[in-house]
Amino acid sequence: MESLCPPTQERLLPYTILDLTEGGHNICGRLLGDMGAEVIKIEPPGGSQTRLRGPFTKNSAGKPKSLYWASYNSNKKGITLSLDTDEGRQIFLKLVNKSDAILESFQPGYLDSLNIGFETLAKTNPQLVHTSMTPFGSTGPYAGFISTDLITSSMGGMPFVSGDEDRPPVRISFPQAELVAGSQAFGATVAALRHSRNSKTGQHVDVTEQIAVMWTLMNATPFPQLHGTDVTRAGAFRKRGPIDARHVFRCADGYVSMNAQAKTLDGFIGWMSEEIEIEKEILDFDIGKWDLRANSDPNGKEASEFKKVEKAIEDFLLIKTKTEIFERALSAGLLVAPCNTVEDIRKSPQLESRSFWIDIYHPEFGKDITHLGPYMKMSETPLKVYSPSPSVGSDNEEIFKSIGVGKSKIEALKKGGVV
Amino acid sequence: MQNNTTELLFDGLKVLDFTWVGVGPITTKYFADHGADVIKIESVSRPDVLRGAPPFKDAIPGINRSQFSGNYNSSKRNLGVNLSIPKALDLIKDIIAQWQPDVIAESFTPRVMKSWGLDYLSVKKLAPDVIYFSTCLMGQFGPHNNYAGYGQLAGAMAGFYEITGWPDRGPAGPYGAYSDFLNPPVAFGSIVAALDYRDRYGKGQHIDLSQYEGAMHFLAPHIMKYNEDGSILGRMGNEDQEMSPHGIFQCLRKKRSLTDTEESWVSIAIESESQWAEFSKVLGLPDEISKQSLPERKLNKDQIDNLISDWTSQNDARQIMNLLQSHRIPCGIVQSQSDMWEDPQLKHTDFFQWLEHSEVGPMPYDGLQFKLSKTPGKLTRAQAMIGEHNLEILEEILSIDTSKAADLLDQGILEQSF
Repeated sequence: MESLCPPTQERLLPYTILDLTEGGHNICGRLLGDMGAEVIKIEPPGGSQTRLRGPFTKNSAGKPKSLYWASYNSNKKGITLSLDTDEGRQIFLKLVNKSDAILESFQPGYLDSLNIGFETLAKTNPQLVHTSMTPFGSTGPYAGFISTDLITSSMGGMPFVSGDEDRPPVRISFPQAELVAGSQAFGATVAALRHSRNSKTGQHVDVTEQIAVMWTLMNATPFPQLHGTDVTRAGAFRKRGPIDARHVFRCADGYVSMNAQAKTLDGFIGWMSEEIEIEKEILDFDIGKWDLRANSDPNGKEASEFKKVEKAIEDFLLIKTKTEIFERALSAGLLVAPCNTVEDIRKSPQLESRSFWIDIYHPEFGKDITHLGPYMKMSETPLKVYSPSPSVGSDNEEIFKSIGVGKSKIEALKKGGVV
Repeated sequence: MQNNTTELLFDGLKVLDFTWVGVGPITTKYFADHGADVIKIESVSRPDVLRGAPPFKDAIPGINRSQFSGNYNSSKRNLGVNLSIPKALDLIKDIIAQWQPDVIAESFTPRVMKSWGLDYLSVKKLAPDVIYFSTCLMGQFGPHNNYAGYGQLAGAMAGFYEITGWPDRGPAGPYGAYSDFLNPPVAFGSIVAALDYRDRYGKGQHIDLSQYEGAMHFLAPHIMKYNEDGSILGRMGNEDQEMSPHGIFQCLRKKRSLTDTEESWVSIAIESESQWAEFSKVLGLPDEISKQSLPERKLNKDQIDNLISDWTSQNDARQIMNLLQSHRIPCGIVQSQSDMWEDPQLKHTDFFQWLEHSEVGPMPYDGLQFKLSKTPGKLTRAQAMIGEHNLEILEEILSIDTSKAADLLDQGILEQSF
């Protein structure tokens, strides 16, 4: 891009972050790391639970290693520390004193029970930003609930509106609740860090998965109050006035998704008439004039015309591939796009031209691993994936040295199960 | 409740907001709800398309009645300008030069701002240290950069459709323009990071967020897996690779107070053998079932799911959740929107908000995305009507008086939706 300037040496975010999170909450620290913060991942001795989360792939020695861990922990340093020991907590407090923020996803009350909760840490370091990510919040009637992705997604309302009408609600098959909370935590943490630098006061940031999921429900939440209805699941269909309009169509080699608005329907009729015989009746429809509202007659003229066009498109798409359909969408400005598999994604010329894939050598896998590039492009401070996810305790020596804990002391701590 | 002395994150920050639809407006909303002065530029001739989409006040459509757009545009002021008129562009450039916004945000395809002479390099001449945030479906450059579409399409392209629904059927979702809701928090953080950098070095910059690329970060491990061994995650319904039972089960029907909805479901996820033992005990499952290991339970999934459904279908969803949670078993109501309006946890955090719209009265808003202990932020006003703040904004920034503003309105440069 012409407007992108050369990189500068200054860090975008000159902060030190202690990352104690698990699972998808790791994305928060990953994003901070991409933006130049020094993120220190603190794992319990023996390693984080997230290392046991799939998907896995075998390393050069044939041992399965977590790609989940690898993807959300690049651009972080890694140390081990047991918070369950006195010595561990003393070291933790030293690290807190030298840090700008901590990120954690413990059960509410856990850090307090160890006497290293927000109030205590704030006394040690008044400028500290303390970000908590929990399923339902640090306080309140559900604060003590135990949860998984399925549970928090359900409480946040996503499955109720997803899936086919004649089957139970469904969740997205790759867990989202922790990730959407982690990304909210990222935004909030950056904002609180800047505020802390300007005002010299830190604060507690409370992020919940439930609310983060609710913020992905598009327009659903006000419906009960304004229409007296709930949005319900409709699978491959969407309400368009009185009609269930298809938004997922089968094609020759998979599926495509479409917004059935006038310009797109017209564009399809144009495309079809170039290639196949279509009824004159369809060619004569004045699609731009259709006024399909919730209270329109579902068997009225406009509704039945719509269904005729939709059926014609449905049949036509069966002989077209995802690539052919997307090429037409690009040239004719149609609101239709392929339901990509990862295989399709890997072939995208758009991603290729934007250098989205980054191969970096990963010592834990003993080979190059292809990573997704940084989240966005920034002209003055280009973001980079500069280091792979840490191995267990790989930066113990460097980090502990910075707080005056030397090599021999580390050895002793190891024996005591602290490191 | 906060009073006027409460500190705000972005007190004094100025944001000129050209965005529309989802990602852009939700991104600038964070600033507005946390104290920044966000001026949204919009026109009646080409309003934010979401103003035409439901839900509407009293279910009646109207340019000032949509809460779809309302929810993303709280706490902002609105300047109604028809940018297709050259004189209107001069007015906008005057505003940029005089007001010196800290942030300019836009969410068109890359050709649009350029066609108005409002692209980053042009605007930088007027406001040298501005943070200029651009987001569109595919990113500012590349062969597909001008492909326009909604988040439903970016969600499909990023791979979310392929992995939502049932393995024996085609893709079924997720609901809505999914990528529109994944990107704003990260977009917000990146703009604040750029502000932080500018505080220290005095330099602004251009941010280019492709919504397609951003969404893929929420599937990153699964994409990396394909990169390594070519395997592709498919639709799994509600199954999980590491947990069983793991599903959504029908409960006793129950009429909601706000809607006619009756269907009720709970989700149950058994993470460990100890949870399975406890769950079996609560349900009184026979030994030949309760003694089964995880691989056996996966094999007998249908039989076990039926036994669970037999039990849940005779019970109330909330009672099931409370009972199983009291036994430390992960369980939750599959909440409808009406359920969430009555959710005690959301009530505890005072999540939903009602704000008074200038024309249509009280409107229901989703609350803040997170809670900050010292600078909590607040939704300060309902979505403004188009041009609602024309007079005050022009007077403040350009010292344009009422009669001059009336001329601009007559010429169609200014617009208003009331």
